[in-house]
Amino acid sequence: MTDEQRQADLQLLAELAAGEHAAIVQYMIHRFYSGEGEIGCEIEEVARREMVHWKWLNERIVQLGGSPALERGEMMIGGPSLVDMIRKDVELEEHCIQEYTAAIERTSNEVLKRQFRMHLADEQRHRETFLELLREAEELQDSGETPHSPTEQEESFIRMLNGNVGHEYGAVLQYLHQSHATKDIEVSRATLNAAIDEMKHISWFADAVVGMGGDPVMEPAEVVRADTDEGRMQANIQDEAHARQMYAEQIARFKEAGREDLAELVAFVRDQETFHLEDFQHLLEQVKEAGDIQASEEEVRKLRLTVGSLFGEPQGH
Amino acid sequence: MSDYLMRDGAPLTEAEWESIDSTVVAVAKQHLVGRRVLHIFGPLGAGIQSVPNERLAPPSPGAISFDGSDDAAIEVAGREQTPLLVVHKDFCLNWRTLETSRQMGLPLDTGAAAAAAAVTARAEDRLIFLGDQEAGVEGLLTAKGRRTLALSDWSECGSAFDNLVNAVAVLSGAGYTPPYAAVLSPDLFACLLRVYKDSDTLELTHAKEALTGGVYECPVLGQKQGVVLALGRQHFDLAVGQDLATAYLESRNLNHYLRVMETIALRIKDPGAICALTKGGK
Repeated sequence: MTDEQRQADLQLLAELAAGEHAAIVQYMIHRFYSGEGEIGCEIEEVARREMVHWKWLNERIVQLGGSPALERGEMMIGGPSLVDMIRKDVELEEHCIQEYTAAIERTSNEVLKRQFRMHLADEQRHRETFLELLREAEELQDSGETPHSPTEQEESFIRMLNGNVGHEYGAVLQYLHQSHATKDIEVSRATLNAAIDEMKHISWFADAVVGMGGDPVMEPAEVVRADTDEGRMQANIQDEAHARQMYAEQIARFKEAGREDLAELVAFVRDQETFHLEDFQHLLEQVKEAGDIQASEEEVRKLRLTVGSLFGEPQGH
Repeated sequence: MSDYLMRDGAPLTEAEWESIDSTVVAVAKQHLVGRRVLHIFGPLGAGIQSVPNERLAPPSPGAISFDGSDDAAIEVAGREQTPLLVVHKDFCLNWRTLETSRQMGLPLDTGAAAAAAAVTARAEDRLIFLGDQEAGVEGLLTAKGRRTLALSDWSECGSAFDNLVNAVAVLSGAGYTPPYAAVLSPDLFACLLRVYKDSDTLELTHAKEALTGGVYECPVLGQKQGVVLALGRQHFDLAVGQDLATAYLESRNLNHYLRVMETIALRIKDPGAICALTKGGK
């Protein structure tokens, strides 16, 4: 493979990853509005599959020597009716089908072609799923529940919880990036697990926002892209410590306002963040120790013989 | 930990370092003589400034018995700390030489590095064979307790070979076993490049059959200097702290100054395994 082909494939993979990223967030937002009923569960299932696509694309990017792609493509957020939201999801799937069809033509890499064909088949199935959900949503459309309008206090809580969504979203991207970028299997495993936990936190906070009549805001907080595992762990520890403090303050506020349900939710998330914090602290120690071992190897390299023994060697050679 | 060779801070590319390193090592290998008759002990690291040198007591005969009764073990008769000395030569990498290579895509001219490597190799051999009086370090030809044999007149055909065989006899008579090796000054070595008596082979060829450890020419030895050695790490070795490497010193007047260097110590454990050829046998 020429360097030109490699760069072209990296560009293609990054574009597709951005599309998958947009699909994940769009479907999750639609899932938050649709609640946890049958339709909501189906949408979430499709979103999970898109996460797997996104992960595979980033694995290929790293294999080709690129850096994991965290950019997000354009979304088609629908609403306020569920019918409109699912219609937008059908449109997005049709767009993805076109993208993958073109991608198969654009690359000469057989491994990528095979991967894209599988993604294409998934997207075609998703379109069928959404078309079916659309029919169900249209049947339900006239059941007519009046949407809840948030109170002033709830508006304040919605802003707070949306802040949490953004924080967790940033953490998901940061951890997924690390999970792909690191060469340490322990770091990769821990950051992937933490990312999965943070995704759940997004869902819980977004559900609470929708429950109060608000709109979930899916804009990620700043993502730190450190070059070393030590830097990654230090950034994570700082973020997790910040989250713990932020959530502790929120718990007090929710309790003061008599919203025990929200206080309990945030307390549960805080406890998970405590586990992440301790896990990252432990990993930081491990990474530092490994760094020391690497330094020792460097010392050994310096100690190697250059000329070494010439014992018994004839002269003039 | 800081890199004492200061290579990381040098404005040279990895490929340029590779070019310098390969030249230095290749030239040194070509020139070094002492390492052909000495085993290496190390590398110990540049931070090691001295190394223990244990002189072994002459062994009593190996025991033979029915029940493995008490035996007189080979023991350390004396121990001293031998300093690892820095052997080095500096060289200048001219900025225009470097720029020519970079601009024109030509191989880097490493002539100065090669010259520094050759001089450093010669300094190593001088330390090994002649020692360094200022540092209070003995060489193989100056070690106390070495054996000596009068150097005969090598201008006579066959006398060089006979003299070397006699030196071997001195060592074997004292209980030292092969392999033996001879290290000779260029003028003595030249005497071996003659056809031996009525044969059609050089004296050198005959000498190599008797001295299976090799017969070497060593430019650091003065006229009519030579030594025959019974080889083995129990007799002597070369302790290496930092093996030959190139360090970056500084940049001055746009030029780059580098140093070919190493830290080494000759450890003579049994000077009786050395038979120096001397005028008058002293």
